[in-house]
Order: sequence, then C-alpha cells, then structure tokens
Amino acid sequence: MKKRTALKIVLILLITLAAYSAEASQKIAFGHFTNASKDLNYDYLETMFPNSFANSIKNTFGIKIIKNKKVESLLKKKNLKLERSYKFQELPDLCDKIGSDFFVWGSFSPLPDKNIKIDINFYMADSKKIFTFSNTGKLEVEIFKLVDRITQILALFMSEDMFYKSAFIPKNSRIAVMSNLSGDELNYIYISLMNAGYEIASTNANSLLSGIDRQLIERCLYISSKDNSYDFIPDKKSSRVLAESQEGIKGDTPLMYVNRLYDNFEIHYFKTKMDVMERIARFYNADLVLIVGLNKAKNNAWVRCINLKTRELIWMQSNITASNLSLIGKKIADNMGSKTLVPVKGQ
Amino acid sequence: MIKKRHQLTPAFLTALLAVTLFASCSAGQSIKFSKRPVQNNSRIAVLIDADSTMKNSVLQKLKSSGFRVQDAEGIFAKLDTDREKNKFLRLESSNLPVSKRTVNNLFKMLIYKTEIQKAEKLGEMRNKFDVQYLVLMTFSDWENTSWARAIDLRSNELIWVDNHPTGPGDNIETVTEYFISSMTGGK
Repeated sequence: MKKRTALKIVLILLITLAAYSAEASQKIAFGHFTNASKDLNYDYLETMFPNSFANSIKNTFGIKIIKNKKVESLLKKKNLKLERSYKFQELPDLCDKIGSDFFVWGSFSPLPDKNIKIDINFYMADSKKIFTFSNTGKLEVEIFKLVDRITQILALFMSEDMFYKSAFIPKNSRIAVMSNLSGDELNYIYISLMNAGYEIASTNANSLLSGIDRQLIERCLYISSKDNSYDFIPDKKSSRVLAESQEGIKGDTPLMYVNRLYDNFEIHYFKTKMDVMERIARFYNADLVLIVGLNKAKNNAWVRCINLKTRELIWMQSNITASNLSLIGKKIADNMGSKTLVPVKGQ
Repeated sequence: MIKKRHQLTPAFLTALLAVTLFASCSAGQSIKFSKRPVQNNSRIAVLIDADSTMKNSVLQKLKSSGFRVQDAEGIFAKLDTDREKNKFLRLESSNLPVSKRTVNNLFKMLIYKTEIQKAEKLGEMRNKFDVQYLVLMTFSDWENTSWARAIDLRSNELIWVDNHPTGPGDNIETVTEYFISSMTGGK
C-alpha cells in the first residue's frame, strides 16, 4: 500500500514537473519565514526554511527560483525592502517589481514535544489567487521530511486537480452537503456517500429544489479558515469608505450600509462565519460541510470540505470528472476516505 | 496555475461525444439507499411536487397505508432566498464601493443562513404537529423518473433516498405504492 502511495506521488510530481517544463520561464520567489515565537533559539530556522523550500521546489518542479536574499537586493534597487509579511493587496505589485510568477512566505512556531508548525502563504500572480496552509512536523530529526512534505502539498495543489487534503475523514462522519444539484441528480451524490458509510445531514435534502444555482455555488470556490484558505486578492474597493457625518442623519445611508457590510463580511467575516458554522453543526448534528459544485454538463465537479469542529478547510479538489453523476459521487466518496496526500485516481 | 493547452483533434471530439452520449444514457438509473425503514404508522410531513390531482392521489395513498400525514407545502415559502440573492446581485452591479470579496461572502452566508432557517422551520413543525419524518416525493417528470427522500426530523438525518425510473404499465398510483414499499423496507 505504501509502495502504491509513493508511486502515485512520484507520478503526480512527474506530471506536474512536465507541465512546468512547458512553462520553464516561470519563476517562484521566496520571502521571509518569520519566527512567530519569542524564543531566539529558533531564529536559525528563518534562514534555513526559505533556503530548504527553495531547493526542494527547484528540485521538484525544475522552476527558476529567486531566493529571499536576491528578492531583497532586487527590491533594494527600487528603494524598497522585503517585508516580513504582506497584505494580500500588496502582492500583485510586489510580484511585478521582482518579476516573479509566484511568491512564497510564511512563519513558524515551536510546539511542545519538539514539534514545529509552519504556516505557508503561496501567491499566484497570474490568477491573483492565494493558497494558505499549515503543516506540523518534528524539529531536528524530521525537519527535511517536513520541507519535502510541504513541497508535495504544493505540487498536488498546483496539479490540474488542485488537490489539498489535511485530514482523514472517518466513516460515519455526518456530512452537510451543499450543492447546485437538486432532486434525483443530488440523490446520486447522497447514495454514493451513504454507500461509503457516511451519514448525510439533511441540508439541501430537505427541499424539493436546492435553491443554489451554478453562479451561487461558484461563490464558494474560495474558502478562508484559520489555518487553511484558498482565496483571491481583494480589489481596491475593499476598505472602509468615508461615510458622511452621521450626526443628524436618520436611518441608514448607502455609505453606512456599505461600511456595515465591510465590517461584518470583510473585517469580522471570520467571526460572522464561525457563528453560522456553529449553528449549522448544532441544527444538523453535522461534522462536516461538503460543498459540491458541478459544471453545466454535470460531468465535472469540484469540492470544498470544512471540518465543523475545527472550522478548518480540510479538503479541496477540482476536476473530478466522470461520465455520470453516480461515478462522480463514487469518486468523491473514495477521495473523502483516502489518505491525506494522494487522491484516488482512475476510476 | 499550470496552463494546459487543449487540442480539439477529431479523436478528442469523438471521445467527448461518446462521453456525452454515455452520460445522458446513464441518467435516470434506478438507485436507492435505506438506512432504516420509516414505520407506516408514523406521523409524517410531506412535500410533494406534482399537480393537485396527482398530489391528492399521493396523499390518499399515504393515508390509506397507515401514515398520519401533515402537508408541509409552503413551509419554506417565507424564506425568500431569491429576494436576498437579487438584492446582492443589484449591490454587486451598483456603483457602491463594495468589494467582490465582500459580495461573495454575503452570498456564502446566504447559503448557510438559508439552511439554518430551514432547520428552524422544520423544528417548529416537528414540535407543533409531532411529526417524526419529512418525506419528499417528486412526480413532476414522472413519465421518466420520480424520486423521493425521507428525513428523520429528530436528528435531521437523511435516512432514505430513491430514484425510480418509470417502468411499463407504471402510473402515479403504482409509483406511489413502490415508494411506500421502498420507504417502509418492503422493496
């Protein structure tokens, strides 16, 4: 079983590598990996991590790399400095200035029992999307395994399937499915999941029509959670606007409305979402939210899965293709029960 | 992301056509899953998608099979998700300085909040009429396929699903009889 898993990883890495050979001019730049603890004993990792990641990614992808020292010098020529952290809105301009297609930066924190948690941000300039994830490993003995694992996670994410999975999903988990499918079509997905041993919370199932169309479900392609997120760079409208003086104004003005939306659905969105997730978990006794989006021809699906206990994005995958919905449902169920790193292929 | 170049070769187009034909042929297959039977003396709420004559016939069949039936039509009528959705669409296309991400988040929360409101409505109905199950049956395309589901309202769990393609000699009554038998653990 381990051999098969290793073979699959090698195969995926080779496919990804081949794709990158065609885009050999692409560059990936590295920023700082900051020690988030106050313990100075771990500062040496600030140098080690970006260099190790750069070497591992170079070896895996054959892509051109720009190490953080080089990024610093490129920025210095423009009278700028490499910051320890960036606001998402600043990334397009940064990549323009250093001439890179991707930018990676992050932070790390030591945990008990010589473990270390790394938070990685991966920005893709072409699509203006950002993938954020974390991983934990043993310090010292397994540090290079951790670096390689993170490279593998990036390779899988950058494959056509855009695969990421951070947790095994046990059978008997109760799943709240949200989909743009309705009626008998949705039943195919339910039956595949139920046959695989999962319980189905009755979200969507309790209505004759799901009420979610394709345009609406595609809003859910982007998910942000505490540690793991896939998101796009907010546009320039994403800030509080200068509201007219509220003194003497009765009722809600358009700008007050805009600012309220900005506060609840941008700045404090995380809290807004946590409250809603808590209620979904409680009302439906659900362990997971599984968002299943289907294309118009209903032969290509993508999924996003949120663990309702940790409120984390634990699985995302695109390009789940099959000739009918029964097979798509089976692929989703199989991948749901698969190990964290490699998707189930070729069914 | 990795850029893929697709070539529309004749072989590719033939394969695409074959997949499309197979997909349409495999639609409407008979499938079912039952986690546990719905006892036919249970008190059930029903949502039926059919014209009024068919609906009356289905309700009669359920009653004559021993179910104590509560019509749940209109239970979600006041949720008005479409109105909210249209409001957000208008906001998105307006000149107001609202970012695409804020609007996306509004839409996502609408999906979740609608599900919460539905659970609240079902909870109210369960308590008011002491119903144990919600049964959904759709006959709007009954000449091809009908489908049904049952939800245990104590746990909000989906416990029975059935897609039934119409067979020779089937009519609304026989399809309803099939669903009742399937739901109660008979077929």
